[in-house]
Amino acid sequence: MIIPNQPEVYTFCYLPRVRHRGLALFFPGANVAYRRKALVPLAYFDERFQSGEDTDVGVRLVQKGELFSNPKAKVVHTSNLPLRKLIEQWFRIAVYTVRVFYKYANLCFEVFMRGLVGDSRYRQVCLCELTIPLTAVIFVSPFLLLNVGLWGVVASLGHPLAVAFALFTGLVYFWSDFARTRVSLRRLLLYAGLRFAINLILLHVSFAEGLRNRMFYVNYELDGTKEVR
Amino acid sequence: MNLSLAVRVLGAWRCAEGGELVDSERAVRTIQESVAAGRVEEAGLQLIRFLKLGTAEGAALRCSVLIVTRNRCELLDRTLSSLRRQRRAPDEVVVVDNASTDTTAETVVRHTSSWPIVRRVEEEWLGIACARNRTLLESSERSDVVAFIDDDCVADSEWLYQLLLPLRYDEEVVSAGGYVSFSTEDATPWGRFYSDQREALVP
Repeated sequence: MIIPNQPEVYTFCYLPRVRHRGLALFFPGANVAYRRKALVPLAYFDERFQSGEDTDVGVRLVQKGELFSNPKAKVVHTSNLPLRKLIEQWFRIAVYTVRVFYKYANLCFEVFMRGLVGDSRYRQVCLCELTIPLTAVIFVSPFLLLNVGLWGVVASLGHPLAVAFALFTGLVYFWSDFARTRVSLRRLLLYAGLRFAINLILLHVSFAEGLRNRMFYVNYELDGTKEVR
Repeated sequence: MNLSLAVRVLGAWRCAEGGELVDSERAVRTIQESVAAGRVEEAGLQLIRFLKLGTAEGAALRCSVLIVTRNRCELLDRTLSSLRRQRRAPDEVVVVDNASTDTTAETVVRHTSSWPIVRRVEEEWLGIACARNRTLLESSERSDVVAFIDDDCVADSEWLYQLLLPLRYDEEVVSAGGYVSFSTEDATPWGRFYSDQREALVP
């Protein structure tokens, strides 16, 4: 298993060694340096991946030594991708992240918690790990909780508790949009709606890709994705 | 136990030296957490690492910068130009051209003519992973570090210098990574939406 995004890159530090065997850290391929004598014995990049090859290398590399992040090593990425390319990119990430997980999953049930607010928002913690004859990976994220809440409202025909839960998780999920005061209300609603729609689509795409690999995979967050390419 | 003091002094000293500042707050916190959790050995190791990072002068490393590109000649031109402005110049730049159909070849040749360390290699087989492997195979065996940058990125003039710092100072570091931000100048609305989502995550 992998931590699909790399929060610690914002501080000058050694990345913490993750104690859970399934979690690994990695740097996006757009801005990374490897020590050659560590990388070459790893048999290079896995050519089955069209995306996520940097994640895959990170998983193997973290066993070899320390990873260090330095935010002063700055690279500016262009944002002038046309919509079609951007969508292709999201889909590629949604599909290949699942495949990287599958490569390192061996028949187990794992539940990860993604932090809800504040600094812990970026942290992912393993909640539960069991050996069962089916591979299942579930990320409990604000987005997932919001969906559970919404389904709860529908299933209970508007039970006040379910509504309260949905409202709370909605607030948590949309908080990063609300917190950005510099954008206008119209743009804010557009962004929030767009983010929700894209997350919903990509959640299903990665879920389907998981099923195709005979694996139960529930995770997707646009704002938790790995680096774009 | 005056670990934190030692680390703070070190941080301040490095700061006064005018250069490579250790994030001492962070170092202190990491070490204190280890001490609090009873992992004294680990705390000691962490301290030694931070000290080494701040003081020891590492060996000079040979560095190859590797780029994979496909049909993005204008963006690649900007990337290569930014590499020429580096504080720490790369020893070699390898551009793997993944079956481009535009003027990528001419762009690279133009750079090569005035900057001979740039090389272009053609790779017909499509795919980011095998193109990256090709860059590794083509890069000089003598390079100690390989740095990857994407063809649609522009490097800060300090980029390579900063990226190599941890690798220079600590033998145990196998990989170093930096910060990727998004340009807002030529952004499409969609690109801006996506980069906004990412920037919102920066603490």
